[in-house]
Amino acid sequence: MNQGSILQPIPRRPRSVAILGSLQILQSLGLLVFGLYRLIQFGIPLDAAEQTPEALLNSLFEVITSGLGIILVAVPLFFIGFALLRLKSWAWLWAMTFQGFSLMVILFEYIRHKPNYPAMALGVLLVYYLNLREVQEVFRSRRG
Amino acid sequence: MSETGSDPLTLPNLELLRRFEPVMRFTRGEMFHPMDVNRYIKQCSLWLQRPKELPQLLIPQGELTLEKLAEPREDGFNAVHYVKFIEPLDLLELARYSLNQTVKSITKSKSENVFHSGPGRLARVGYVSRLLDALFSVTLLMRGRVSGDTAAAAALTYQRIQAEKESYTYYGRVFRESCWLVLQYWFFYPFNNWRSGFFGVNDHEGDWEGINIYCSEDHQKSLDDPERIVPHWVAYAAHEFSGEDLRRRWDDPVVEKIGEHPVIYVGAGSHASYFLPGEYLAEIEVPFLSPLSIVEENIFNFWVNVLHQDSPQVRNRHINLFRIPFVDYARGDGLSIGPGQPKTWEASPLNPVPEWVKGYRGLWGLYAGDPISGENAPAGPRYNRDGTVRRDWYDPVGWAGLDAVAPPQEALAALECRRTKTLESRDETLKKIAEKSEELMGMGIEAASMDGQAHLKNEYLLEMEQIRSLSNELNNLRRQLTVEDAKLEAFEIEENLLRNGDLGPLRAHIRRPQVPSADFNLQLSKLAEIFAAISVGLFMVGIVLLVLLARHYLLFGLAAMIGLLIFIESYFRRQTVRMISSFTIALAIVSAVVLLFHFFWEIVVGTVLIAGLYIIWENIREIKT
Repeated sequence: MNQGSILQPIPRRPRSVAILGSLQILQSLGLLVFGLYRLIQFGIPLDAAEQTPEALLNSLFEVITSGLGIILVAVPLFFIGFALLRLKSWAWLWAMTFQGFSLMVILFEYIRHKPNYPAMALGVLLVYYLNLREVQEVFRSRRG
Repeated sequence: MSETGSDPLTLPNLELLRRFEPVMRFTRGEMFHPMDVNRYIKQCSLWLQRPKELPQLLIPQGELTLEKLAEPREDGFNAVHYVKFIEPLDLLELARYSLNQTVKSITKSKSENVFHSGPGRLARVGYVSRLLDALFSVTLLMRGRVSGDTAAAAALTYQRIQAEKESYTYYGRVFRESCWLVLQYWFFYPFNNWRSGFFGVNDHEGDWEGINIYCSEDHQKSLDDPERIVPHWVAYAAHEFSGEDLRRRWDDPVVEKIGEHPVIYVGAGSHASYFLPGEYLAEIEVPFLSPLSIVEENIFNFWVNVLHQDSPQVRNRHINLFRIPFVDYARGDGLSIGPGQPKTWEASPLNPVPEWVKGYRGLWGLYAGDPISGENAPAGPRYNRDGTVRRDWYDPVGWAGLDAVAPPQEALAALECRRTKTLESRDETLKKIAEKSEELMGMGIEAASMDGQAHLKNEYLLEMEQIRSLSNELNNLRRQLTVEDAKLEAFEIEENLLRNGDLGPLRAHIRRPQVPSADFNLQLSKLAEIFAAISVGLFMVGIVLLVLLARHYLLFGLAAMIGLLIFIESYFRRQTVRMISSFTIALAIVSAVVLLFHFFWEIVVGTVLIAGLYIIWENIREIKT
């Protein structure tokens, strides 16, 4: 991930990449605020009341979607947002990976009747921008 | 077209066949080569199979001849006549043969006639294909099939026949159709051991394969002038390919030639013919899965064409999930037969058509009772398995999609003919335009005279209606004239190209190119192959273990197992980036569907609102500028 500092000069950046990077940073900031709120409000749900498989599975997802889990996702997303704006070659793949993970958790939460539609919509929008031909070409050419 | 297309009198057919006879290159390990049918039939017995009855022996082994084979037989609609080449080996013979083969493969060096498989076919394809492959193998237990030791017995019998007198035979036919002179080369193999010898689809006794060379004939030149006959196209038969995809232009670099002899790379065991050496991935469609395979094709097209997720190169390499992949090894590193090769041909012309070709409509080997026919022997060069005449026999030109193509020197005459027709049609159009134009102008004057005259209102309206109709007609005629002019210009360009000997792009007619699979680039290739071989089995064992030991985790466990298998596979194939990208896009599509389902009207209203605001913004910008 560390192919040069993210403070190097910025080459020409298409508008769609600027929108993508900004949305990514906004998403990470939103997640950070939401994570902090949940951390203060509910703490970290480490103990499962029952030892049934369903309960263990549920508690695993509780940890992932807890304040701490959300903050752990938000921090790298913030840096990835900046890396996207600075056209770092690795940023596209990591952004896709985190969006995939985030959408997977959101869809699983949806199945568990805990939908988060704004996050889902933002995720879809980010994947759309990541897959615009113009955006893909910028990062593909930089990967060589 | 009838058999009269075959003309034995005007040309020395054998000489012609000899002039272009092919060079065949086999893969190391190939056990059967093209042979004389007479020697094969002498080893066979003739049988009759009626539905729901035991097979009936008609002529025992040792008494069957080509003449007896050709005798007419009427045994009812569903009766199948077939010859039986060999009896399976007894246990002792089979053990001796297997031991010999094993010792040979271990002790002999790479330069000898021993087959070495390359990267396994299963490592080249995905899990669904591997699962289907396992099911396909299971179906062999239920379908009729050629028993496992038959190939060994056939190999021993063939070796014995060749030991008596080594020979390699083709059957040649000279046939005239349309403007083409077609040279057909037929090859008869005593056995197809693709499944048992080379991990392929099927085994069957008897195998007829062929190639066609399409020539033009200049009747102005003398019979002994080599330029009288000029080859232009060549078509090789291979598996699922048909029509135009079968043929290549004679001057195409893909058509390797030694002098005037085209080189054929023969699939090991399958005996399919290829232009280039290599390993070909053949897809076999299972009939009941064809609807799924069409759905998969459409999803893949949507993925590539609409979502732009894969390049056109990926499209060409794509293997349908619901077809079973098999490798056809046509490496050309084994025996070579033909002019200037270690082994040469014995030619046997089929002009005039011999009785055994015309008279025998049965199968040229064992009828295994396989409902999808893969393990049943084929019929002869003239017939399909159901006794109807094969298209490549009665219409070899149409079979290779050449019926709309004229030989170069005929093309100029055909072009001139079209030009004359188009010129005539153009003259006709011009005449009509002049007539209609004059009529329209007259009607216009007439209408102008009536305009404003109250007592002529109805006549005026009727006249105007007729003027509109005539004006439309005239417009269509003028459009037709521009098309005809454009055609004449195109004819001129084409004529210049033809006169300069430019026959156009070499492969524009090919929809599905027949290319060997690229060198397969697997990470940790040995490990990847082992994983490919055991993955489906492991997955099935995993399901059983989950059901037995952790039923509560079944869904989660299945999802985790599938995820892990996909990740390992994409790592081996160096496709991790593509896998992550595809997975995320698929999740985004599912999420978009969920959002659309819950907020359909909100999304519609929002979209209309945004579109409205955008239009306002654009219009205001226009006013400002």
